[in-house]
Amino acid sequence: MAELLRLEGLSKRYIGTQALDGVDLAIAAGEVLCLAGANGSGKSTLMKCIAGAEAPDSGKIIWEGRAFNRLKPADSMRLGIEIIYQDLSVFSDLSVAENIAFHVIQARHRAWVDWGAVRKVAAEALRELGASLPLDARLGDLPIGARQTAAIARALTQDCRLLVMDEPTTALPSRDVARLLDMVRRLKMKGIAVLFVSHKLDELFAVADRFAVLRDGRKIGDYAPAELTIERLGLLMTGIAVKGEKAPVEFDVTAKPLLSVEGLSRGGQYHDISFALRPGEIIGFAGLTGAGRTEIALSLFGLNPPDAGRLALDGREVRFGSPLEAVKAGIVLVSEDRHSQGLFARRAIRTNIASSVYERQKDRFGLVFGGAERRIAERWVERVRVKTPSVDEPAQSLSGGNQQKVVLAKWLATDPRILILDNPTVGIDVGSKMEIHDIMRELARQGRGVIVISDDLDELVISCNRVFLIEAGAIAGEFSGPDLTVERLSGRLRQVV
Amino acid sequence: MLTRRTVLAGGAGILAAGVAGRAAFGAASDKKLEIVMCAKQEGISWFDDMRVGVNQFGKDFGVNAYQIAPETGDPAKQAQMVESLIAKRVDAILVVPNDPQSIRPVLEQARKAGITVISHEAQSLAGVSHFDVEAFKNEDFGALMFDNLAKAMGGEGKYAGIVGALTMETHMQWFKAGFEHAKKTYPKLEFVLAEPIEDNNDEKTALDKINETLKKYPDLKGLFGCSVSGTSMAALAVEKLRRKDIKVVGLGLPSINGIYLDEGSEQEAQCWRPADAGYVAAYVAYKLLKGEPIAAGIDLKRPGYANVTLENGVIYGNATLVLTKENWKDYKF
Amino acid sequence: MEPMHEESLEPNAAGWRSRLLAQLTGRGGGRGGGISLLAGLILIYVVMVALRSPDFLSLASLLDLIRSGAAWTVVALGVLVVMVSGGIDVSFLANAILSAYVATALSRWFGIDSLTFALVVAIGVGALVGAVNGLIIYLFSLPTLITTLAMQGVIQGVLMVFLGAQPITASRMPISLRNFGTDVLFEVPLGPGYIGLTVFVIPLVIAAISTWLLLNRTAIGRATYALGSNPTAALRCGVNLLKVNLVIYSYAGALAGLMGLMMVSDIRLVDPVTLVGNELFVLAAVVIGGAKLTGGAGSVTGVLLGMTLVTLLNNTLVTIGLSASWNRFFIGFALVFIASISHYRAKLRNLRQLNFDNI
Repeated sequence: MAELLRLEGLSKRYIGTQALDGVDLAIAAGEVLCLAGANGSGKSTLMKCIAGAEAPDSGKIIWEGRAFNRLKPADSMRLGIEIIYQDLSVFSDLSVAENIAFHVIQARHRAWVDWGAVRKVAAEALRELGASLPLDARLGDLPIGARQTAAIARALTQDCRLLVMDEPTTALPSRDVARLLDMVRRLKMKGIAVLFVSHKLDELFAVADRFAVLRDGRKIGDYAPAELTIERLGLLMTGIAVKGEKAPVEFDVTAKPLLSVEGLSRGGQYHDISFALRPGEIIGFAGLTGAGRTEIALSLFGLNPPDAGRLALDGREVRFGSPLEAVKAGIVLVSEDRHSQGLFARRAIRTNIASSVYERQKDRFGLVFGGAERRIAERWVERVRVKTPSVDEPAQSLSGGNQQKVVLAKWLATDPRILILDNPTVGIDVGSKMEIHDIMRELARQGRGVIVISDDLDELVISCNRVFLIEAGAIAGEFSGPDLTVERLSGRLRQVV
Repeated sequence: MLTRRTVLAGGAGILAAGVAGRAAFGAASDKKLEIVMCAKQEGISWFDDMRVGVNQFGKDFGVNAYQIAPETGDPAKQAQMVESLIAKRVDAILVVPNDPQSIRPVLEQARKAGITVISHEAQSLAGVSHFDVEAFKNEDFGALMFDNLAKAMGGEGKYAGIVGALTMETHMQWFKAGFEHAKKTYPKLEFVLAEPIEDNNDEKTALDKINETLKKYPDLKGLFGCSVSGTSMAALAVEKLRRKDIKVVGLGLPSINGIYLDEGSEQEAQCWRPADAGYVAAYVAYKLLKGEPIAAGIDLKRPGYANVTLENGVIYGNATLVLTKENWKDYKF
Repeated sequence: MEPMHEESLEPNAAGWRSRLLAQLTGRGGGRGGGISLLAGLILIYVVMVALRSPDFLSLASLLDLIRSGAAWTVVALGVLVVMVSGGIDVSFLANAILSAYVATALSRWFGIDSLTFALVVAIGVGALVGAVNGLIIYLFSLPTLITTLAMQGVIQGVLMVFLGAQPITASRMPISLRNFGTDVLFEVPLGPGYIGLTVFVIPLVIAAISTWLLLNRTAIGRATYALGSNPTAALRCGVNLLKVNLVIYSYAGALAGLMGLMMVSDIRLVDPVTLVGNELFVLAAVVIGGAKLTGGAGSVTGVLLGMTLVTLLNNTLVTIGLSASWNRFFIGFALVFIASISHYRAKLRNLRQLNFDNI
């Protein structure tokens, strides 16, 4: 394969950190390279240097033998480098066809839009990817997988030679991952090089030609997929050995249930959901995105009220009109999207953690002073091991994993009896992920009940006592004890797909 | 359209207060008396005309009388200008305030400094100023408007009318006085609305509302306007819909309503002459400075001010100016 | 190869309430969405007025509606273009009266009594002021609200202080402009007189068509939607922000100039202190028509309907016998109603994608 892009000794320093430290990297036409690294390993900086958004301090960027000290965004585009950022950079308000053929519309010599040509270009790009999307639908109305497909198709309309995808699978439901991989194979056949930049790489083993691992701004090495396992990759990325084995917490199966759910239904979302959660138990919800898992969780939390069924806490029937009532009763929900729901990104860590317990901070005049906030926050930062110099730092300064710990701490500060965690480790690095699993187990040991929704089957198998497979809004299977393995779960899930 | 606001501001009601005449000042002075009018705004034809009256007074009486005004109708700027007149120790300050309330403390300061103060279009300042000068009593003005309407309509038919807003005191005084007068005097006139329509002194609103009214009451024969915008837009609507059978009267200015008087879409416009008001204000100040008495019935030497009335510190003339096709070109405001 | 995402494209079956609302609001339409709702609202209001006053259903009412709303609609179309880009313009009415003032004053100065001359000057001045807006916003990356608010003040200052603007009254206006305000294409009898279709309908139709073409058929128009939808992505895709800003703000300015001239011809008075202060009325109509303050949405049809509703609310109060203050109540109500519906619609849409951001 002909070499397309080579980076030689790329270095970049920001105030306080050496983001890149003499990184060498090469990718050939038609090659699929996975650049793996934990948060803060320098992979975003590397990507920005390729995109032309950042200039390296030293080193060379060599494109088909031509050496550049730096690329400008326009250079990068001209050379055929297309970047798909994690946010996909699509236009929700525009149609699918227009999103895909956006550059065709914006071509400099054309003032008028030829909608016929736009549709043709879009349809052609989708065909090359083996995908089909409704061309006239508003893209914002389609699911994330469809939006990603549109973004890839858009790259194709531009004579793309190197496609860089930032965290392509992080937010993607597992069945869309298979389709992504298929599209990548087609790109490869066309001789397009694909660079995946991610910390969540297990899905990519099937398609990658090579892995390159970054840690603390340095390249650790290049590896063939055959010589890697998820555990090994995790170790390379973090320097920490990943314990992959099952380690559920023992609990008293005869104890009176903390939470019992009977025949819970909501029209169009889920129906006849029944289960009991005992103190110290961790229950997992597996299933496809859209199967109704999140909807059930929201109903337990006082959002999305059920149409029918009963909910009992300690044997007493309850009905929550709002999340506030649920929190008061001791149920909290840590949502998947910490940015829009759990976290006040610009506020200090201490404010974030203490925000759930302002009632408790009031002095006898009903006023809140900073001292209490700081004490609460420092205690929790310690307990969930948030890596930060001070609780005064803004939450957005933290890495994804530490942000998630702050959100957890915020809810733990309310001393809940039942925690519902919706994809608690999405988008965070392996080290933080393990720490969050530890926290979950610790909570169970304290006699609390935990419900975890996750697309990560490993996560469920490692930490849960029981896992329910949710399919089309109903419990389609229950796995526990020796039945609870990744193989069995994924086998069952594949049947669904 | 400063004049509209001028009219509105006058309606704030009368704050009665005793007015003390002022003893002669500097009788032996060989320096000319300095009488200064501080108007609302520069560059407005209304106040250009007022300046003519003030300057004329200066010539007639051999005093230094002139007019100043802020570039924009800014109350704060106007207050500053009055303050600088106090610092200059002029003999008399005449003022047409943009905002009577905000200028009140400055006028009080002027009085303390021994300066004669006369206001115009600010009945609420009577007592703060030595006297407030008004061209007419609102009740008389309103009755005259409806007399003219009845005359134009031949004493019978349906009519409607427009005011700035139902909360604008001056407009409502005109309307109520005129309406009561018409009920008694012209029984065949029929007011079709429950209350006058409102234009917020905005031409576009006035035009739209009058069009709508004419659509709803196609048999209308008369329209009156208590706002300049209302009267002129009533005339324009009548012209646009080719309804010269509808008679239009009301508050109006030569510069704005003259063309409609010419075209016959408006029968008469009524207002008062700013030059005369300025002249009279200066004259009142002059009389006070000379120690001459101010009382009901005195002659202030201008048309309509020959036999003024005096109530609670407000001097009323009978100086309504009725503009017609024939006479409007004589006036430049 | 299996087709992608097909099953997930259909919204999950939701409750009857959601289904009804989805029907009402034109499900899934970023562009067509809400239009049918608005049309329905207009229809309901017309029926209500007609029940109260049967004469209301007449050609005369329609003709008067067009005369009254034409100028506002023209300027609203310019505001739409700016709002689609995610910006907001509050200088348009100040710009309109400045343009109209300069056009009328120059006509008098040179003694040119020509509608064409006045139109060229007004549209030119308007476009120039708009271009300055666009340039400043681009150069200093300022929030559009702040920039255009400042521009509004500057324009008024220039008019009042530097030009010492005095109202130009009917008698001093060029005859051609006075006629522009009264000329009609045809007339029908109304009482003993006549009501006609104003010639304003010509600039109105031209403005509507050109705005539609700009937004839907030109690269710049699509870049405008893209900018409003996702500014970061638009810039990454190489959208030329300077070019787009210059075009859309000049276009909005040009329409403001045109509107100004229509307005002064309609009322036969060029008064520097009129118009300014009605900005929210126009913005409300554009938002009722489906534009979002955050950009990316809005259509010419929406503006036409939004302005129709607002003008109707303005011009039926005498007919139904309510005082002028009701106008604000109705417009406020329509705004809240439409805004709630579109929020609910977005929520439904997000629910279908399991995005719980705004529950």
